[in-house]
Amino acid sequence: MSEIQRESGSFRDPASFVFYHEGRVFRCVDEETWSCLNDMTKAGLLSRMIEGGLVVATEGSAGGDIPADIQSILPPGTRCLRHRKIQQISYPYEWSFSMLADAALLHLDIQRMLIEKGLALKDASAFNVLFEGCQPVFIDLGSIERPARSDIWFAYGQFCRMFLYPLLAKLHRGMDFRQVFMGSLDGLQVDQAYRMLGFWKSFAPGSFLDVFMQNLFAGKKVGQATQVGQSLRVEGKTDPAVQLVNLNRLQRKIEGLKKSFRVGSMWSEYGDIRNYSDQAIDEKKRVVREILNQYRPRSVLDVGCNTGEFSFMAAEAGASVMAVDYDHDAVEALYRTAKRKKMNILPLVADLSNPSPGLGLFCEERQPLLNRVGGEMVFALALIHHLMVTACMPLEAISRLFAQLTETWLVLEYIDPQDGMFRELLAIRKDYFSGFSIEKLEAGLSDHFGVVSRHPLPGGLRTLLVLKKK
Amino acid sequence: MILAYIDPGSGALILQLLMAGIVGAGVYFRRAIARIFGFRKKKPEDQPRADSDE
Repeated sequence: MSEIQRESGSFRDPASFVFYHEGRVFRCVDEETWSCLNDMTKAGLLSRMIEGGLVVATEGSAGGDIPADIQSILPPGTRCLRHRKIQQISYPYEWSFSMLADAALLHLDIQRMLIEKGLALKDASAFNVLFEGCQPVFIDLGSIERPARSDIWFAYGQFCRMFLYPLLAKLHRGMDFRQVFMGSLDGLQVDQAYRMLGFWKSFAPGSFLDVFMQNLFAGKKVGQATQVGQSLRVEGKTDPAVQLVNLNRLQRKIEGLKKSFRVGSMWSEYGDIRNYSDQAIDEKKRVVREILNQYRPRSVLDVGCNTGEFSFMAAEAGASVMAVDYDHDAVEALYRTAKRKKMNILPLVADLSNPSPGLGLFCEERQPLLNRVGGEMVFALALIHHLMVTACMPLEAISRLFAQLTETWLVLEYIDPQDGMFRELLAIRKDYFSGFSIEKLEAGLSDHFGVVSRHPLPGGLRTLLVLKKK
Repeated sequence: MILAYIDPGSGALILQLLMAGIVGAGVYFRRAIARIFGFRKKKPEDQPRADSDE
């Protein structure tokens, strides 16, 4: 009898939790939530959401699928659902601007559809969304309830903390999501948002209601919360039209923020391109295409994806791609393009020499990055010099990192220290690398990798290596 | 009556209650104005009809 494994991040809500059994994903919900979901199913709303790609595919496993040992340990009256398993797990601190904005818009779409049926989302956590390629998908069906009143949204405060304030802080103050969400899994607090934006930006029409006014009323006096709580109890029906006005307003605002965010710094990365002759670029593309055709990997991780050129190639060759880069704007530009072209690429902002660790309760609630990214094949193109010089990683560490990231193949571009790209990084640094050579590289990787083939590029200073994990 | 298992933020709640009041009043006034003026403006050729009070 195989083990059931409870999802370590799913514990806050007493009404629902997620567990795994034999590679399948189940969610337990209490009677109330089950009845809400039932109503949704009867009204055809749940299937509409699933077919529209808003919500993860779900079946009500009433009886049937659930192992008997699980049934016996669950409290009586607990119902189970089965979710389709989403392979790519990413967190808000790895998303780019438009990704967080799209996750926010998804919440608003779902909430709008729910309030028509007298239901609502009880929370608005950015961690309730996973990206499949460029498509945000809502996964927390346990969050659906029948609210006490429908003219206000109880999760609106959390929606602001998780989505609106971080977007404003990134747009106006350049504060990365990583800094926000790794510091606090609940997002940016209203007083922090107000202080970060300052009086004038908070008072501006775009932020007046959500930042300035909310901060004004934020409960600082003892007993205020109780008073508010008492005034919330209401007799009779409340009008969802009021809430709809607010949701539409929020949607317009977030769409506006998306338009306002301009990608900038990515163009400076093009400095690398300057060092390639047209011949060399064409040859490099040809070789990568050949490698993809030969090995046909199911999944590819493109490390240091930059403009995403090779991620596109891998996606076109049929692989499911994760593309990681340290530069936020490069990831943002890649997301916008990949989304428009509907490509199977999940772009993420991450520093693989400082990856996110386990976070939250017992450091298990959110999994470390290195457990979640990887692929059958890893691309490390135009990257080695950054790892060695900028990140100061020794070869043993580089070898170990790639061994952890890849299942089998590694396509790595060797760059000679004489090459322009390398020399540019060394311009004001002490030169430890004059002795570096392709032989040294292969030797440094030999504890984890064996070389399968070498493809020198025109110019004599760069070579693509195909390596296989031992 | 359990209202929220996450922190709803009293600022967010108060703001929404205020908005509910204002929007609710706005909806009431819009309906009242529509009743007085709306029918005449849209269909000038029709006879003004007596409104049925709701």
